[in-house]
Amino acid sequence: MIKKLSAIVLVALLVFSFSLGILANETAETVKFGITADNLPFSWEQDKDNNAKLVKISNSEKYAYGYDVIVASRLADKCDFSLELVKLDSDEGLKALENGTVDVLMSGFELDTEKVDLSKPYYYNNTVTLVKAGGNFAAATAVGDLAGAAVYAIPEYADCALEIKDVTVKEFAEMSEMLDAIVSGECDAAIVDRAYAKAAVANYSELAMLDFYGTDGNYSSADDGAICLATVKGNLLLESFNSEIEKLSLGMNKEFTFKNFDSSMHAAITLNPDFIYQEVKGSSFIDNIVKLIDRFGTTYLTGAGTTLLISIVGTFFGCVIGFLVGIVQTIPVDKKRDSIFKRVVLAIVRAILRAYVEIFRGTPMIVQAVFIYYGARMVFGIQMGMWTAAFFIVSINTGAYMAETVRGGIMSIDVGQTEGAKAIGMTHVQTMIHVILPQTFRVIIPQIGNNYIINIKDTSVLSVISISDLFFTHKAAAGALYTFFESATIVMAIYLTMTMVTSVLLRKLEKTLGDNGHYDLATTDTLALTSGTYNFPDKKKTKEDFR
Amino acid sequence: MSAPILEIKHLSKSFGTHKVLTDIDFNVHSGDVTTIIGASGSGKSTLLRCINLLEEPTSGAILYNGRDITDKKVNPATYRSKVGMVFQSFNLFNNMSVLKNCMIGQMKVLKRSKEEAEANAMKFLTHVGMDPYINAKPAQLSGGMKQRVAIARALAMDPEILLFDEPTSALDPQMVGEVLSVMRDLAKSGMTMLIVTHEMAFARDVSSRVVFMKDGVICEDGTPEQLFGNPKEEATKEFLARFMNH
Repeated sequence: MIKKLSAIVLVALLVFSFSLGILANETAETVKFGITADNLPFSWEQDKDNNAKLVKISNSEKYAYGYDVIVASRLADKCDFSLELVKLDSDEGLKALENGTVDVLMSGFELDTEKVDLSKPYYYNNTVTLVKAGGNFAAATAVGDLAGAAVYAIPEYADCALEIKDVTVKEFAEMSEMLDAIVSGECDAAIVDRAYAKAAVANYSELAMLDFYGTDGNYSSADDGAICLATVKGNLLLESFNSEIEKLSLGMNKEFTFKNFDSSMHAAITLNPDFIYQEVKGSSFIDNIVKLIDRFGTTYLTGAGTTLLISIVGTFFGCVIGFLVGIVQTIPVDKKRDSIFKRVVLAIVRAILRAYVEIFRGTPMIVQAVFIYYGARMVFGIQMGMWTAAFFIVSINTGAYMAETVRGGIMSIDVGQTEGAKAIGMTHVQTMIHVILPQTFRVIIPQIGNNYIINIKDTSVLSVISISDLFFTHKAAAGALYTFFESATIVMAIYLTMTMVTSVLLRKLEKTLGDNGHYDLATTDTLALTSGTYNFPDKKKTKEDFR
Repeated sequence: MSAPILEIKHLSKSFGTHKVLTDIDFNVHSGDVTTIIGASGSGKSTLLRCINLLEEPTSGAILYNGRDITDKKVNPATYRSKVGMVFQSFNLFNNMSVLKNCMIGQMKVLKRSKEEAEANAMKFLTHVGMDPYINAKPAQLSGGMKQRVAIARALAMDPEILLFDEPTSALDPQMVGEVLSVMRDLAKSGMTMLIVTHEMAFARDVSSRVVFMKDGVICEDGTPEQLFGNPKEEATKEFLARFMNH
């Protein structure tokens, strides 16, 4: 049976290599611990800072910390081995155990419990309730006391919420919104796991944690959330680990309580630079902005870069599409000279292009994104990369708008330009390339700029296909320090900067292309006499100027 | 007499039910300077535009060197490259400099090299006195200058015949002179020209032949001496009287 353990496991697999023992080398045995490095607050990775307790991850440039790392370090210390941390995806834990990549798995792996041995639990991540300190439910000692409450529950604990009498279950939202709802009184309680609750309480003095574990008043569908180490079957070292884990948990009281684990967990929570409640938000608006920029500056810039890249690529290809469609739509039909075949094909192509323009102008880009990204997969079996999908969607959307812009631009060019070109024998294609399109381009630059600016803003909808653009970055950063207004301010400033720089550049381009301000008179020796006397258009014209 | 370059045969043109030209018949020979005069709306410009296929004739034929160019097998672009046209509104390419305006057709249509095109363009620009302005854009020039560039552009294509559609009608009186003097030089050089104009003095002095049109038909046709000195038709007399008096 494969059981996904959200909390997990351990084990020690110490392969005492007897052959190595022969080399009378006294160096400590190395034991390899597998961690997921993204299971906050149990394990995470970060760049090195001054915290000496961080442990280098052997297969990464980064360093690990968290509750798991605290426990593993302690085991290494007490059981006298040298610790090596290996970062693994949550679904490759069992394979890594079996092929010897790691000896022990820590929390966060999916495991088949029949294929591994488990240690004693090194944490109980049980089900607890968060309420407002001093609020209506702060004194509750059992589920029954929560009757009538409005409650958030993370999906795993939905059943627990339904045990409360007359409960109003709120739709689960982001963690930070949930906590704010409790503080503001909009919601009464949240059913969450212990590690999370500890982190919340450590950072929100307004919150209190209720723990009904071990009493008759506990949720009947709750479990104790035991988290264990895992090894392959029959590993010798589990026993020595177990005795150490017991010491860790027994602590001074010789009682097996949550409290002893909690102190280590608190250490983990308060040391995580990226954990969402590691840092209490600043005391002022400016303070928060500084903190956000300090912490998430690079993240914001990366998001802005993504936004810029998609907008530029999308606008560029949108223009290409727009020009192609606009050109096809304005091909003149000569009823006398063009063959029936050409006219029919042209009519069909035009009908298709017309439909394309109407469909993509007439539906929201967010819907197109979902439709194309998931549609390609389900109907055609094409698994588009999210970047490909993003470029494709923005391009094709912009193309639909640009098609009409270009068509209008072409029609706005004086018919005399076409006649002038025709009169010297230029074909339609030559006329378009050399005379009409360059002028059209100049005319529609403001519209291209418009589309580009719209794209900068509208790429925010692409988060539906997991693109981490600037707006997505904002959501992540704001949730982390619970500073929505401050983060929005930063993001507004970045968006505005990008669009205003664009405006200025486009004005410059427009001016360059349309520069009719001055020109140099040709000055060769044969022209020296006349050219010296000309200073058009400033100089008042004389009769000689016109011969 | 040699065969005519251009033979217009029973040419008619209607816009919808409105008949603009009716059964026009006339020939143009090499070296002819033919002016077409007549009141506004008499169909002069439409006739010229039909000759250049900017308008499709409703019926009739236009023979160029003996070949009917209204036939659908004739490529209009190829034909037009041999027949230059100068417009009332100049129609210079706004996105190009004066020099480029005169080179683009040579390079793209006649496939001349850049050097050849430039030398040729300079020759004609010098001829019309616009050589100092080769770097200017059309928007920077006066009307008279634009029209001179337009003439140079047409000439640079080495046309067999040059059509002028009221080339001075959009110009201030002081600029009319500069354009007419260029045209006068051209006429002297033996260029075959077909000119729609309201400049009666010019028509009288320069043309080898004058055509008077009224209500879409050719009313009278003759040498300038005949037509201006001794018009036969009543309509011609009336028209000339009105024009000469102011």
